[in-house]
Amino acid sequence: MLRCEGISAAYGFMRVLHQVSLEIAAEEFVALIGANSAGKTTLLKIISGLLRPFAGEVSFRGTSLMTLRPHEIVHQGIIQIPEGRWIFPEMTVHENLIMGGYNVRAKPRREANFSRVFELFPHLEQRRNQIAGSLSGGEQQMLAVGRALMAEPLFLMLDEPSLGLAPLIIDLIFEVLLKLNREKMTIFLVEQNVQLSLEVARRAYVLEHGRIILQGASKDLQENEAVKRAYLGI
Amino acid sequence: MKAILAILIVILLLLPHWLNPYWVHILIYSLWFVYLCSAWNIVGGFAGQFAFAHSVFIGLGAYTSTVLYLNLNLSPWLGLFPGALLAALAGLFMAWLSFRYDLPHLSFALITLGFAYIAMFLVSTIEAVGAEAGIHIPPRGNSWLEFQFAGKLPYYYIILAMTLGVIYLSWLIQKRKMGLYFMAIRDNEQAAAAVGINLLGTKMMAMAISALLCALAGTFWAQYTLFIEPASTFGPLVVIQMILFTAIGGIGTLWGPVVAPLILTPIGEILRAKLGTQYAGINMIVYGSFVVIVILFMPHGIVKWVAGRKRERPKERR
Amino acid sequence: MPGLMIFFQAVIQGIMMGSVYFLMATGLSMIFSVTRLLNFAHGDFMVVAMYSCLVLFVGLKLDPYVSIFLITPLMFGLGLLIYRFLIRPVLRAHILMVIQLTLGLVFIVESGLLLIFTADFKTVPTFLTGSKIYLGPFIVGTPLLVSFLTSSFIAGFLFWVLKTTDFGRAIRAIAQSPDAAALMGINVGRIQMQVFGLGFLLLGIAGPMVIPLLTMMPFMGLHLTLFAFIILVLGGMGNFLGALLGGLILGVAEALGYLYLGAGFAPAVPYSIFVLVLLFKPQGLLGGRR
Repeated sequence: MLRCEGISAAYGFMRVLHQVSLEIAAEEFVALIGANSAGKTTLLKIISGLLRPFAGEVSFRGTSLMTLRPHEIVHQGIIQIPEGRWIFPEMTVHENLIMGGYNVRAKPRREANFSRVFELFPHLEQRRNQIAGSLSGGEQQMLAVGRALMAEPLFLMLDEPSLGLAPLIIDLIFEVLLKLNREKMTIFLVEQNVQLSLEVARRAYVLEHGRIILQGASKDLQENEAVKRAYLGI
Repeated sequence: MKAILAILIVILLLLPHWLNPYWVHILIYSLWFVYLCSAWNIVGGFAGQFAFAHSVFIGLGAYTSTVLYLNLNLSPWLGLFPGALLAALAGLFMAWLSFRYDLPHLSFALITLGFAYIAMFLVSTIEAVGAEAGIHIPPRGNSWLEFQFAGKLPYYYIILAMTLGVIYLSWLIQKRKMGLYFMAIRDNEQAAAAVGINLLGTKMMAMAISALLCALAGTFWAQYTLFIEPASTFGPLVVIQMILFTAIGGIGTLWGPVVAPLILTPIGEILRAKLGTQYAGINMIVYGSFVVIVILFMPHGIVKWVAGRKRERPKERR
Repeated sequence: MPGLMIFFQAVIQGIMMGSVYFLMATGLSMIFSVTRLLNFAHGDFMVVAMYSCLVLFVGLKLDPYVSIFLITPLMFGLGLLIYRFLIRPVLRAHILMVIQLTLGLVFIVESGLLLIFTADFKTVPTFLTGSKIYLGPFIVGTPLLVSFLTSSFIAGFLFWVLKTTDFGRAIRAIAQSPDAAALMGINVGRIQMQVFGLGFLLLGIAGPMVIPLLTMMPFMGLHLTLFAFIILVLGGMGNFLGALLGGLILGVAEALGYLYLGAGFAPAVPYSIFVLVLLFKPQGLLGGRR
């Protein structure tokens, strides 16, 4: 469904990504793991159109995304939940969700989508008129996921969803993700929490210093010595 | 390079003898702007402190020396010292404000603009200096002591000397440590402070120098035109022109503030003379249009653009 | 007590004038909130709208209150054009470059007006000029009252748009985070352009309405722009309600300034407030971001 070929990117003279290539097929749940400044967020920004690589191509269902503007990429169905969530702090929960469903594709089914989100996150429904900035970290993450769902994603990307969250909330979020994946949603998860990622994702890529150094089925990676030493602390 | 400069200077020295007074006036006016732009560039370009306050400095210089001249018969050559001092103090005050309240660039620019307007309004209420109508300096003769001359030539040489002096000063600053400190602050204040640069001191230094120089220009102008008034002397138009010319030439470059006024002022003045009665304000339209065009196509100013074309730039990573 | 009466008279006039200032400033505020741009030529374009009324009066004998309907859409279009060709290319550059560009526009517009209309003070007669209305014991010029009512109505309308329409929400979203807005599928560039046009449209309304209240001259633009800046700073940059509050404060402060300090010092009052607020409460009296 999504394919990155030879993505190379830099900030000024600082190279961040080197020839990154990966592929995610429909209905898959794939993870991208790696240390903090490996370049994971940069890759997601490139896919969403917020950054331009100086080499390489991203294509979605056969169409190249390289000439599309960010809002057009959203219209294609590629939805990102960015690191830090980026919810609109001065709007209510309800308004944030409306913003999620802003794109033209999803607008007609806005009301139906509300119901679905509140079904998944009843906690949010209780707080629907609360100002988003006053929510706790976990509630904001729920809101971010709900907002993404309002956009009727065909391809959902998450950047470090577990960051700063209590284990209980993390479990809740990841259960929702698994549920969505069972309902045929394609998910691309970028995470520092390697253990968690390898438990939920079927396949994973390992990114180190801007390069893909390993890839394969999660089960295999969990057994891999290098991975165990570097990321699982074993 | 040095040879070219030397030849240019010689030409400038001899030029006015062959030109009629009208052209000499244009030269004087152009050089005056070169002087002002270079002075602004020291704090706005090198040190990156974008400010509109310079109308206050010019005004302080002009009014102080004039008031002392008319009331105490103090020669403007002496009177320019108090004016320069007051301007420097004003400059120090503003730099202090910028530091004390940690003002971002935009806020600082707006505050200086506010000060400029306040100063203009306040001066226009003071009867002792002519309020809104300003002061006409009575012609008192033709001597160096009075800083008044019948012909234009002496004025020309004075402003030429001042301008060459300022350019030399700018060149010195660029070369010396001071310039390095200025530019460090311009590029990244926090990093500069982290390296141990005295933010407050450096900002104050840049502003004070710039202010002082502008005050001198104010005194010169007062003695040249023999007329000062709040609207034009303390008004924002001159400052804005200074900034625009410097932007066209290239903010932060040495020759930017020199090249732009030398090209634009004569064009503007000629247009004003030829078409001014029929098409008033056409010179301003030209200045404004130049700025817009330059910002759109040569955002770092003419000087940098020309320099970029001349040298083959190493291919930057796409 | 005559003293108190005069005071209230000034306050009322200040509030009404303040609503007009608000109208002028709110366009700038919205533009700032979605582009972080401060257009130094903002006031000058309001003056353009005013002079356009002069042209329409001389040419077609149209009363400015009628011209509003012609001028407003034209101003919107002008705003779109200026944004597309002059502003958008420089938006990503340093903010100081944008300031320089708009300063250049100030020169072009003010000198252009000088060229076409000369420096003489001008005015355009309207069918309401000179008429007055009694509000209880106070006298108010009808044009001022009409401006106040129009501005209030527009303020309410804009507030409604911001709160309930998708366009309004998109504006608020971009103001809080342009990148997050882009990830929602909002075409940030297009909204920015439309808001810029909207700002100009508001000038197209404010300009003609102000004709009976001020005399026109080519150089008044920068002064008006500064008033808009003062209002923005007072209310908090990009804060809609803040602009409303700021406009009222400015209007009242100006009116009281003229009443108690006389025509000499009065003009300095708004600027003094400006400087003080920038120094001591730069986020504006209503607080808010930045």
